[in-house]
Amino acid sequence: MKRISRAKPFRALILFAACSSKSSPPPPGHPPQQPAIDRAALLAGKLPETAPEMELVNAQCRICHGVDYLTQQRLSEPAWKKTIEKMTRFGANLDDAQIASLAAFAARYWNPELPGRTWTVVPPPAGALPD
Amino acid sequence: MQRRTFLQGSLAALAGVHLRAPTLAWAKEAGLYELTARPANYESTRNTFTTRITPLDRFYIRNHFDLPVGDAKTLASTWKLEVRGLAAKPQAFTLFDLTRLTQHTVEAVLQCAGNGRGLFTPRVPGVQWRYGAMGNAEWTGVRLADLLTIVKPDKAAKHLELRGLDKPVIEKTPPFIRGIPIEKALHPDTIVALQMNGKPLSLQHGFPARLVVPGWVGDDWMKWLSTIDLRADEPTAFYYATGYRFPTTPGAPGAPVPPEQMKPMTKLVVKSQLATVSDGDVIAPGTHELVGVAFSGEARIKSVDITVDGGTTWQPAKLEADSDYGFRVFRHPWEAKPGKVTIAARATDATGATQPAKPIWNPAGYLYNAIEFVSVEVRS
Ligand code: HEC
Repeated sequence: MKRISRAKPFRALILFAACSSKSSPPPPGHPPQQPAIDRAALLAGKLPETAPEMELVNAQCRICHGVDYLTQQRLSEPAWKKTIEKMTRFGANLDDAQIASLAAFAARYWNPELPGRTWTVVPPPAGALPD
Repeated sequence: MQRRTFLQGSLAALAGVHLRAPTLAWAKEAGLYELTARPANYESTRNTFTTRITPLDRFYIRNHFDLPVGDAKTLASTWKLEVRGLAAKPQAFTLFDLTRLTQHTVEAVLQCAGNGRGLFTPRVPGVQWRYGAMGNAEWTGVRLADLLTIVKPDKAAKHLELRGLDKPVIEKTPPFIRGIPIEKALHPDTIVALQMNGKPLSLQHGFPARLVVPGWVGDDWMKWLSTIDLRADEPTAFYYATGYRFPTTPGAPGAPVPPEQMKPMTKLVVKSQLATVSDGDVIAPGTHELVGVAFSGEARIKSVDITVDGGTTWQPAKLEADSDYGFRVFRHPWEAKPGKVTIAARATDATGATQPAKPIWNPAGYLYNAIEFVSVEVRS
């Protein structure tokens, strides 16, 4: 629960940092900074690799499927929370604080304000054509 | 690795060329949009939908889980279809058994219930299919009714519970289990298909056998079909009792729907898809042909109307051959004059059902069939 209550003021700080050219590094003992929102990268399905929540995403959200399931959604924070709760019913191993922090993280990047993903045409995958 | 990267690059370049093309030419190259790589969910490109039969190398792919373990050769020799439950003579059929029974061919559209999910507002979670989670194929195999005649179902058997060989990664994840009522199972067009467009099914399409439930949503077309349980009641498994449900009376967009007002989806709904124009295209003045496909659930397509003035006036398109469950190709000549133009197609089926002007929003984003208005610019 502590992590969530810290998340909001911290996010305000990031927005400030993103706007100011003279942003100073976070004081020692604070969680690492959220990377600024890079729309072009998000539209192409790229992840904010340096975000602190990525450790949890990499550990939990790649077990059953790829993270492209995550990067193509455009959901509000409550809708993200519901989806991540569904994943725990499916077998993702997350406590309530982790669910809340992942929902806030996901909604920061992949929310309804962001246009739909851009897709590229690729050859059919392995097994698509008869032997 | 290098070859794949090169291929991807050149195909992407081709797609780019197509988007900027001043005419309504369309790419003939095989290729799909990779919506998710694992499990594989690939959508067809819009320009696929100019032909009655969808070519195999452009046919969409939908998976819930990773592919079943084993290559085609192993599966061909180890796979069995067990038909059991409320039946006097339950039996396991091998691939060889099935090939010795009378084969039938049915042409039918396979469409993922979630086709168009990515077009709903408010947005809904799930694979963000837009236009391409559908295709029309000729399916060849054994009538399910013929298999049921062999196993002799009890009078009490009212539902079939269906399972395939695919498995979730973790035991806790609900397996993909579906069900159809006995009436649809006994319909002569419902088949256990071994072939698609005259070729053995590929692994991604359910080799060695998948169920074909013409006119019904793709989630009933169980791939790698391995077990059919005859039962008195409906399945209670997650993907039948909770998942893949549609509101009995759809409400306001975004409004939650209580579970008791959700029922399993069955039939597809009437729909058309323009293939040769998409939003934002820049098109040269002159004569063009608007081409696309239309289909419905258990009804033939009666008409497709086209507007090139944003819906003020509609003209009937020329229709090619029809079939009980397949795509019906439509064509419409269009004299493009400079300016901004809004084009749409609207299909009507034999029951009189037609496409709605507004999407019928539902919590999981199923059965999108609203008229699509495509805005293009005509200039030289
Ligand atoms: C135990 C397995 C498992 C884990 C772990 C898991 N998922 Fe999923 N997830 C699934 C399955 C199964 C589906 C449904 C796939 C389908 O039908 O295409 C799914 C679907 C989704 C979807 C699409 C929406 C939906 O409801 O189908 C999203 C978004 C998603 N997962 C996000 C996540 C995130 C974020 C994490 C990490 C917190 C995660 N998943 C971890 C199994 C899992």
